[in-house]
Amino acid sequence: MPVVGLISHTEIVQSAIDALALGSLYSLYALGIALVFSVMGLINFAHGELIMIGGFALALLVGVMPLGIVLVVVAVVVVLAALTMERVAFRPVRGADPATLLITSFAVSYLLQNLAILIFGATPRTLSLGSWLGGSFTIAGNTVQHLSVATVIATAVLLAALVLFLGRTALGLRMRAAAEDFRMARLLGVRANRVIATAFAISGLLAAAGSVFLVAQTGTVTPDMGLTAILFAFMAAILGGIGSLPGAVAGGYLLGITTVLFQVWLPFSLRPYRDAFVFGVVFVVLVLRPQGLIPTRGHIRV
Amino acid sequence: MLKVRDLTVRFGPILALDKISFDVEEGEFVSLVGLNGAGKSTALAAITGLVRPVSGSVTFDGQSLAGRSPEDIVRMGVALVPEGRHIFRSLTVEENLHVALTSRADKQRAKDDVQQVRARFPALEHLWETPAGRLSGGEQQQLAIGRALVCRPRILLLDEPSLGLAPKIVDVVFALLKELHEEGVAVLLVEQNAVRAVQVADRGHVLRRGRIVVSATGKDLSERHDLAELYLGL
Repeated sequence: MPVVGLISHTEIVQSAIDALALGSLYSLYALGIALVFSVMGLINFAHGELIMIGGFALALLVGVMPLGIVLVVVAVVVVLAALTMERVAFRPVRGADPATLLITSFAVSYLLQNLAILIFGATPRTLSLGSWLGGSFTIAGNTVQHLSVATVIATAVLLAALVLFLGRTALGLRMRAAAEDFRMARLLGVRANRVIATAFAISGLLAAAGSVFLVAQTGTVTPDMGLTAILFAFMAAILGGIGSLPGAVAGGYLLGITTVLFQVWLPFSLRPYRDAFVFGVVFVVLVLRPQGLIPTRGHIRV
Repeated sequence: MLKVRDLTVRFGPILALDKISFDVEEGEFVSLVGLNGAGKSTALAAITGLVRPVSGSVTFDGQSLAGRSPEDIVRMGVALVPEGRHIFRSLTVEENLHVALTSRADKQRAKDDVQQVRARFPALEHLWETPAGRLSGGEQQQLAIGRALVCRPRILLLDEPSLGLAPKIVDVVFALLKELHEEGVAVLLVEQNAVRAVQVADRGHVLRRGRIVVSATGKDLSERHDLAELYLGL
C-alpha cells in the first residue's frame, strides 16, 4: 500500500468521501437557512426543529411502511411543518427588525423542542433505516459506506433540482428577484406570501433530506437533535455569506472538509477537541473575509 | 381616475404628508415638484401600498386602494418606477422584464408587450442577456421604465427618473415620458428638476413640507418666474 506522509492511500480516499458526505449534509442544512434568509431576512433558528420533526416522523414510520413511502411521508410532514411555522409564527412578525425575527425563531425552536419532550419523552429513540444504508462496498481496496455515497448523490440531485427551479421556472425567477430586492419585486406583482411560503417549503424539503441522512448516520432521534445540526448549518451559512445560496453550499462543503481533515490529522489525544479546531478555522476565515466566501450583492429587506 | 383625498402620512413624530389632495385623470400628465423631503416620494409610496397613511383616501377608478398590497395595486394598473431605479442587478435585462410578467393575467399578450419594450428601447437590445448591474445609469433607467411598462399600467408613477443621469439621457427620459403620454398612459411624475417636470405636464402641484402649496396647469407653472421661490418657501 503506498503511503503518503503518515496516512495511507486508502485512508485518503475514504476521508475524501467522508468529507464530501459531511459537507453535503452541512450544505443541505445551510441552504435551508440561506433560502429563508434571502427572501425574508429571517435567521430561522427553528430550522433545526424541522430536522427533529423529520427524525421523529422517521422513528414513528420506519418499519410500519416500506422505506420509499416513509421518505415521501417524511418529506410531506416536514414541508407542512415548515409552512405552518411560517404561517403561524413568522408571518405576523414579517417586516419587523432582525432581532425580533431572531427571537421569534428562538421561541419557536424551544417550543417545538419542549413539545417533542412532552409527546415523545427525552430518552433517545434508536432506529435503523435498513441494512443497505448501513452497508459498504469495496473498490480498489477502499471501503466505501453506502450511506456516504447516497448522501453525496442525493445532495447533488437536490442541488441540481434547486438550480433548475431557480434558474428555469417563473416562480424561481420571482424568488431570485425577491431575494435581491423584495419591495421592488412586490411592486412588479410578485406575491410576498407566495414567495416566502415557497422558500419555507423548499427549506422544509431540504431539512427532511437532512434528517434522513442524519438519522441514518447516528441511528438515534432526540428532541434536541436539531441543535447541533443547526449550529453547523449557521456556521456554514455565515461562512458562505448569509443569504447567498452558492455561499451556503460552499460553506457547507468547506466545513465538512475541514472537520474531516482535523479528524484525520489531529493527534489522537486532541481528536475530542476536533470541533474547537474547526470553529477556530471558521473564526479565522471570518476575520479575513467578514462578508463570507460568496456574499450577496442585493439589499435584503422586507 | 386616480383620486387622492386628504392623504396624511406620519413617520413617528414626523408629519410627512399633511392632507394632500389631487387627481390624475385618464391619460393626464401630472407632476409633483418640490424639494427633497417635501413628501413627494411618500405620496407615491402611499398610493402604491408601500406605506400606510394614517388618514385620507386613495381611489383608483372608484376603488379604494387602502389596505391593498403593492402586488395587488400593480395588478389594478398602477405601476411605480421608484427612485434609484431598483433594477435587479444579478438578473439579466430579459429576466428583469420577465419578473414584471407576474403582474399580468394575460400571459400571451404580456409576452408581446415584452417584445414591444424591446423594440421601444434599442439601447437595451444588445444587452438582453447581460446582468442588469453592468448597465449604465441611463440604460438602467430605461430598463426600470420598460419593466414598469410590462405591467401595462394605466397610470405610470415615476420617482425622480432624471436623478443622476447625464443631460443627454435626461432628454431621452423626458422624450419617452412625452411619448407614453401621447399614447394615452396617465403619468404621475415626481421630480426635483421642477422646470422640466412642469413643462411636460398638463397639471402641476408644488409640495412644501408635506403640503400642496400651489396647483396650476403645467403651462402656467412653467411660465411663473417665482417657481423656485414657491417650493423653497422664500
